[in-house]
Amino acid sequence: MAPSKKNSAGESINSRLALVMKSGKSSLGYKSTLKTLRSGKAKLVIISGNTPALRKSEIEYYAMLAKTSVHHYNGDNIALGTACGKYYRVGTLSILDAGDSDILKTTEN
Amino acid sequence: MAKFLRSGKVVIVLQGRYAGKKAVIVKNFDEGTKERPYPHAVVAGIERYPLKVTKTMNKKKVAARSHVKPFIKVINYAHLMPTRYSLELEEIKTAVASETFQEPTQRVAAKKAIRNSLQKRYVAGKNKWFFTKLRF
Repeated sequence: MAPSKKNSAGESINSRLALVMKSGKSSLGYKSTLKTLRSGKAKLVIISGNTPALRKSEIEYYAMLAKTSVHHYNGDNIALGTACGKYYRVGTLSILDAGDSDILKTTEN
Repeated sequence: MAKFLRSGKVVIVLQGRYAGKKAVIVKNFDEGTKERPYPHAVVAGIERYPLKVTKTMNKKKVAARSHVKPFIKVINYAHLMPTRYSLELEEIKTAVASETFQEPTQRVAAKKAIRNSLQKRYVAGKNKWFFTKLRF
C-alpha cells in the first residue's frame, strides 16, 4: 500500500482530527458516512487501514459520485478511534464541518 | 459534496425480491414523507432482462427474446447502490408518480407504459449497460 508516512505527517493528521472533533462536526461509522455521502454533506471521508477492500472501494465509489475526497488513514481502526478521542474502533468517518481545523485544505493535495 | 441520487440515475437494487436488478430513479424524496419518514426513491427497473440474441435467429424469435419485464417500487436509499450511469427519462417520468402505488390497476398501467418505452430503447440499442444482466 502507501509507504508509511514520516512520523510528523502522521501525527499532524491526528492533531487535525482532534481539532475537528472538538470544534467541527463529524460522523463516525460506515452507515452514517454513507448517509452523509448520499446527502452531499460530507466534505472529507477518512478510511482506516484495515477496512476490507470491498468496503473501501465501495466508499471510494460513493465518494467519486459525490465528488468528495477520501483520505486513507495510515493506521488501523483502533488507531483511528483513538485519534478521534473515542474508546471504540472507527473504521470509517466523514467530516461534515471542519470547524477550526485546516484538515480539508491539507488533504486536498 | 454533491448530491448524486437524482432522477435519471441508474442504481442497483440491493435488497428484496429485486435484489441484483438494475433500476432507474424516477423520483427521489431526500427528506422522506409522512408515510415514509426516511430518504427513499421511486424506481423503475428491469425484473426480467432480455435474452441474448444471435445472428442465426429469425425475426420472430428475436422479438420474443427481446422482451423486457419491468417493475416499479419505492425503495429506501440504503437498499440502493448508485452507479455512474444514467438514463434519460421523459416517458417513464410521466408514467409513474407517488399516487401510482395506491391502486393495483394504476401499477399495471404504469408498468405497461414503462415496458413499451424500455423495450423501444433496448431495440434501438441505447443504454446497453442497463439492459445487461449483472452477473454475481
